[in-house]
Amino acid sequence: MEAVVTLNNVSLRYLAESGETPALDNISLQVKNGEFLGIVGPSGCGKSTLLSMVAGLLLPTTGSVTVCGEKVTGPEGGKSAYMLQEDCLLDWRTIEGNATLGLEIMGRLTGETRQRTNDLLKEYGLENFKHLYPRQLSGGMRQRVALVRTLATEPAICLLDEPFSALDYTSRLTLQDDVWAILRRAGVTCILVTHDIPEAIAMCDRIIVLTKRPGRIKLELNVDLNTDAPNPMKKRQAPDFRCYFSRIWEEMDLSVERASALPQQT
Amino acid sequence: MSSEHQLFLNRLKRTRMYIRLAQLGLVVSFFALWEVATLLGWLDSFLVSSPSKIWQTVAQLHAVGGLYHHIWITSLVTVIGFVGGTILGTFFAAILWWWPKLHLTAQPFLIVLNSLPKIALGPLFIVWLGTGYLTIVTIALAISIVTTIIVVHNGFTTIDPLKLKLVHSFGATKWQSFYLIVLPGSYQTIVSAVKVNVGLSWVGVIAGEFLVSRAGLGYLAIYGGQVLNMHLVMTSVLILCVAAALMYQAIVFLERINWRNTLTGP
Ligand SMILES: Nc1ncnc2c1ncn2[C@@H]1O[C@H](COP(=O)(O)OP(=O)(O)O)[C@@H](O)[C@H]1O
Ligand SMILES: [Mg+2]
Repeated sequence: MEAVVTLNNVSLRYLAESGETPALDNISLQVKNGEFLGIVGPSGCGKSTLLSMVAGLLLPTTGSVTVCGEKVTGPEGGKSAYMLQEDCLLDWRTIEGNATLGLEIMGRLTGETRQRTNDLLKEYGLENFKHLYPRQLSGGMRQRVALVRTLATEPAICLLDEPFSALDYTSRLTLQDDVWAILRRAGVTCILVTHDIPEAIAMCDRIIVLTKRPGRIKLELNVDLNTDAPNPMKKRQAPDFRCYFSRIWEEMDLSVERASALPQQT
Repeated sequence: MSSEHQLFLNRLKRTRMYIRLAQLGLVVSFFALWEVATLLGWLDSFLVSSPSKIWQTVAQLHAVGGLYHHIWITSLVTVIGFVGGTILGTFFAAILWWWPKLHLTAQPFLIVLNSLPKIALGPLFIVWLGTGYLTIVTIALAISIVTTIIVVHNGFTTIDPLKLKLVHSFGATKWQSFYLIVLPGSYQTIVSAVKVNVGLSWVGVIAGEFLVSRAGLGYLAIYGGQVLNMHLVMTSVLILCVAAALMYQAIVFLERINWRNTLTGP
């Protein structure tokens, strides 16, 4: 199948007065059409940086990033769309106004696209709330609005940067199911960045594990849970789930963090 | 409603009423004591005036017809001062936000200007602009504009970086990120700047009227002082108190209206 995103020997160094920070080192990967790619790694290993490069917000120091066959040279609305840690809804816009934000920025807000956004809101149970303001909605509903805002622009690729990390445990599990179902149904290609290993296993087709900074690809793993579970929640109960978990856990460079997190013995 | 709740509400209402009564009592006894003290000769009414004399002065000014003119002039100039100070300050803050290098260049000068007592510039403005209201407005503007620039610019640059990341990923232009995120996101900062500026503008206008004017409450006070008419001085101070309090209430009322949602639409 044709690759939607290709990273070719990509490295990125942050430059600052106090010195250089190598964030990513020699990353090559492809994301196929309709695929759900998970990227896990210890915090600070360059996961957000990687997504920024796919979105065109950052340009690689060396190597090249290609989206839909074109080299990325800057942010370009419509190719990729983000879902971030926080829902980033604007308090001063209604739910509908928030959902159409991307279209409005790209100058693509027409009667037709507005109608399609409204259809999306309806599909995800938000129709009755579209004239309300974000503060009137619960955390899970707000993230769904953020998802509609992302999908309304019909991006070639969805970039999910720890989108559930700000939610409490139960809302997180519910929303993982919702978001997964919505994205699957829409057939969108996705990169999901997370440090939550079970989340990656439950939601993704393939997982890439990065090393500590500078991030390199340490392990690439196809997820096949041998189950016909219809959603991430059910997939967590698959017998193979634990094997994937321990495999990834061992590969993550958590040893140092773990030692320092343990209480000191005297 | 349960009887406990009813009881609770009644108690709340009663507490509020007592507080109001206490406040009213304080005002009444202050003026009563003042009147009695001057009547019995404990205080010299030539120096401290007295409520009855102030009342007579108000009646006289009312009869002559000058009273409302003085109040109107001073209030109008004050409003022009703080509205102008806020708008111009926000405008310059936007310019500095747009060109960060300009801000870095201007920063030390802004700090110097901010610590300079602006009243000291009064004589300059008199020479340059004459002894009319232009000078008074300029003094009021000078007092509020620099702090407004600093405070609002600080608000502009501390906007949630994730929200900016989001709109950039949609390909937003600088202008779009300004009017979609930065300006409405700084609404609270600008509102607090307005409140501070109301106070500063009163100071500027009264000081300006001390220096140059032939009408207004500041002029009445300084004129009263020059001819040793303490009744006139006290009268203008009291009216000033009432006018400032009313203006503050007006601002609080305007703040309640949700301008941001009204102005930025859906
Ligand atoms: N603008 C920047 N300037 C310098 N260093 C940065 C900058 N942004 C991120 N970094 C560093 O690069 C590394 C990778 O950051 P990031 O991609 O945000 O990590 P992750 O998302 O995996 O937690 C971090 O160690 C961080 O300190
Ligand atoms: Mg991150």
